[in-house]
Formats: sequence, structure tokens, C-alpha cells
Amino acid sequence: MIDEKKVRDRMKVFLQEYDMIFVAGDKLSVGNLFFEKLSEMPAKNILLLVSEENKDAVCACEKICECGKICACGKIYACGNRNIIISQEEYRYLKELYYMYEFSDRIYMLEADDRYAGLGNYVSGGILTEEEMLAALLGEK
Amino acid sequence: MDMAQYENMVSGLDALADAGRLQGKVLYLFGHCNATEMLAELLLQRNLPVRAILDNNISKQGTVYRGIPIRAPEAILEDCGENSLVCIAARAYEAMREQLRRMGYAGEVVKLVDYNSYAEYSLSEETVGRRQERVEAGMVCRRRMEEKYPGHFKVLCPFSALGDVFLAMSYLPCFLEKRSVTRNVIGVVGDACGQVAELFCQEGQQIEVLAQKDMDMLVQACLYSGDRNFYIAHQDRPYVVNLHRALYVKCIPLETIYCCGVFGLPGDTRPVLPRTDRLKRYSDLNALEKGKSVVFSPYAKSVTVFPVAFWINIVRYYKDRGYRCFTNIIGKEQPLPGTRGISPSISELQSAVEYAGTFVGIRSGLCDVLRYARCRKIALFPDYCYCDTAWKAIDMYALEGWENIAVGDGFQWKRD
Repeated sequence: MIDEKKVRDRMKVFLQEYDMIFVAGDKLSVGNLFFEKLSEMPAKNILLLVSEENKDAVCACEKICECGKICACGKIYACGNRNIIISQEEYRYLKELYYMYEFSDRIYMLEADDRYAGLGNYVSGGILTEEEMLAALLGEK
Repeated sequence: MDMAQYENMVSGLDALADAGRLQGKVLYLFGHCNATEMLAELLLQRNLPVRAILDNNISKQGTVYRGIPIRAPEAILEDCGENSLVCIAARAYEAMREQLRRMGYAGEVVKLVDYNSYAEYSLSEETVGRRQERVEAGMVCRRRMEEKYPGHFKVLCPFSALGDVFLAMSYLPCFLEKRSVTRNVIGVVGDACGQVAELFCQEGQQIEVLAQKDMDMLVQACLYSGDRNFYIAHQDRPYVVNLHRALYVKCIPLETIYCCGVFGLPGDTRPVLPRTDRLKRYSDLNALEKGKSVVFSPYAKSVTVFPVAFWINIVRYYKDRGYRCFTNIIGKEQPLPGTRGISPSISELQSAVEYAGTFVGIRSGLCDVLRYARCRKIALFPDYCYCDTAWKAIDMYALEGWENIAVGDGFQWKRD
């Protein structure tokens, strides 16, 4: 059992600290290009929360990387921003909250869900390139 | 904004006034939209001056509405926070309030219309408890729907907007075919949207009309429960749908948003047209003069409307040329001066404008309902950018086969 209050308190702090929070769960809706793109925008103040199910795919560094490039380990990583591995329980609780109500407009689940429309439809339909979709997702105006 | 929301806003304002919370305050509004304009009117009628309308859209900043400057949200920091009050009548209330707080604004922020029941930017125990209860209430709606339509796939059009429902229904058959869905029920909000859905309704398809509150709870319950037997057929509602973000990088017409974005269909998919057997002849057709009448549609729920003087000028133009002029109205709406009010049902509208010969309307969902009418069709677009994107409304909402006209400063009505 996780301490739900503790998870929420932690999220409150994250929401104060970061402009955007991406949550990477078990069914990622984005590929490596997303994380590469993320690594190119260190000024954006973005946090990436990665469920431990994905921990082998991501760089284990849990602090801001200095290099400003993809991490030397070659794994997906939000270089220049922050990358935190969360437990499966924590991820599931965050997901539960996310579908319970909109508690912020700055949190993004990186999860494909065929119950509603997503930006990926524009890529498969040829309306956006993957680059453009990622730019949209990362809030480039 | 519909009548119930307007009344809600008026009573909210009354409550603020009764509690003395408007007294001596420097008033700001946030988000220049149709509802904010109505709120500004109410405040001006009560001799309560508004210092500024705050808006994130750069193209609106520096302009003026009814003498009120439209400014960047940061402008409020120039004022003493304690003495100011920000009134919000917009769907993005929670996000706007949070933006003000993150900017460092410490003054009062009040919500005057409850447009968005999904959002509450708090993670407190109390909020989560309340939200859990709301999900449980939604589960009751979900169960009721399951019992009424067992084994049906649920397609939910989550918002009361005629245009959205029309476009959703236009592409839904192809989407359902792609997913091999046969028995399905379409959930819509309000009778008018139900009538739009009925225009397309096929064998094995059911229409369920819900109240907005019940729809919101149902959608939330379906999301929360992980129900895979439903689909949300909307471009930007509820909050989980992120299609609108694409508009920050590219202008995508509304039709494409529905075809490719909402339903994931190829761009060359042909929309399904309303069934001809569902289109009815307007019962009061004889009141119109065939081919020599104009039906005006000056009202819209989500678009900032044009002043009456603007319309009077156009009415005069047609009257001078021997046309009979009519205004399409619902409820307490008033016909434009010099015109007669008519209220055809959704299924009768097309016959009314085809018989009249000319339709002139602000670009609203009603134009979508009339998109295939065989007559002269003129859509007028307020000359503003869509939300905080760089695209003009006319770029996104122009209609094929229509005369699409942007109405900006110094606009003069000239037609052949």
C-alpha cells in the first residue's frame, strides 16, 4: 500500500516547481524522438516521471544532467530537465487521480488511449510530422 | 453561453454585490470571450467600471472592448493586489486562476460561471474525496446507460455544441466501421444536439440525450473505470483530449480536426451527409417569400457576437433590395430590428433557408447544420485569433461552398 497523501504532497511540490510534468507509464505514446527533443529544451523546466516498468529504458540519473545532450548511456532521458523514476504503485495512483479529475493542466500522461482522440492521430493521418507533434506536445508556439 | 449559464452568472454577481465584495474594488475580467463580454455588459449596466480584460492572446492585447482595454495578464501586477478582484466567466477558470497565482497575484479571483466541472486544481484530501464521490455518481449514470442499452458501444459527444455534434456524426460511421462496431448509442447534451444527431441516425444506432452535468459525470466515470466500450467524440473536451495543442504548430481546419484528429480517419474520408428522409419541410414556409427572403442568425453561444447596429445595416441593405428579412431565434432571443423572428426546428432549418434563398449568419454551429443547404450562404467571422493560437477563426472554420467573410475594423457590407 502506498501512502496516497504522500504521493499527492510530492505532486503538489512538483507542480509548484515545474512548468510541465510528463508521466511515462507502461504504454508509451511517444518514441525516443520525444525524449531527444526534451533533452534539447533545458530551459523549459520540465519534469519527466517514469514508472519503474520503464526503468530499463531510461537513464537512471535522477538529477539534472550538465551535458545538455542525450545521456551518454544512450537510453531515453530528459537531459537538461529532470527525470525521476517512480514506483508502479505511485504511477497507478497518479493515473487514477488523472482520470478522476483535472487537477492541473500541466500534467501529461504519455500513454496511448483509444478511448479518446490524441495527437498521434494527426501523425498517422499525415497531418503532422512526428517532429511537429512533439513540438505541439512540448508546447512550442 | 446559454440562458441557464447566464442566469447563473447574474446570481453569482448579485451574491458578490450583496456581500459587499465588489465595493471599492478595481475589477478585472480574464479571457475575452462571449461570456466575458456578457459579464462586462452586466458590470457596466451596474456602473461598475472594469479596469481591463486580461487575455493571453497577443493579437487581442492592445485592443478595446466597450472602452475596456484588453491587456496581458501581467498587467494586473501593476495594481495593488489587495484592492483588486478578477472575475472569470470562462471554461479555463482553474488554469487562469493558477496562472495569476504563479505570476504572483495575491488578490481575489472569483468564478462566475461553472463551465468546466472536470477541473479543480487542488490535491487536498477534501478535493479528492469530493471528486471520488463525483466519480461514484457517474458510475450510476454509466450503469443506467448499460442497462438501457446492453451491449452497445457508447459514443459520447460531451458538450452542447451543434457544430461539434454535426461533424462528429458526419465521420462517425467510418470510425465505427473501422472499429467493427454495429450496435451503438450516441450520448449528446440537450435536445438541440439530439436533433442534430437524429439527422444522421442509422439502423442499430440509438440517441441518448443527457443533461450537461450527467454527461460530465458519465464521461469521468468511463475514464476512471477504464471502460473500453466507449469513445469520446470531441476535439478538445474533456481535459484528456490534447488535439488543440496541434494548433500551436499548424492551422488545421475544423473538418480535418474531426476527420483525422478526433476519429483517426484518412484525410480523404468523405463525410456522411444528413439523411434526406430526416430533413423536414418548415411548417411556416408560407411566411417566407421564395427566393426573395433572408434568414439572419446573429446569435452564437461561444463566439463574441456583433453589435445590433452592425446587423441593422445588413438588414437595411436587403430591405432596400426588396427582400423580406427574418431572424432565426430560440427562447428569449429577440429578432433583429426590421425582421420577423422564426424558429424552425433543426430538421426544418435547411428547408427554411433554401426556400428563403439567402442565409446570413455569424459563424456558429448553426452554419454547420446548414452546411449543405442549397441557397446563398454567408458566414461572418469575428476577426480574432482562435484561443491563444496564431490562426484567425476564418482560417479554421471557413465553410466550403459558402461566402466566408472576416469582419474587422472598418468593415463595410458590400455584396453583389
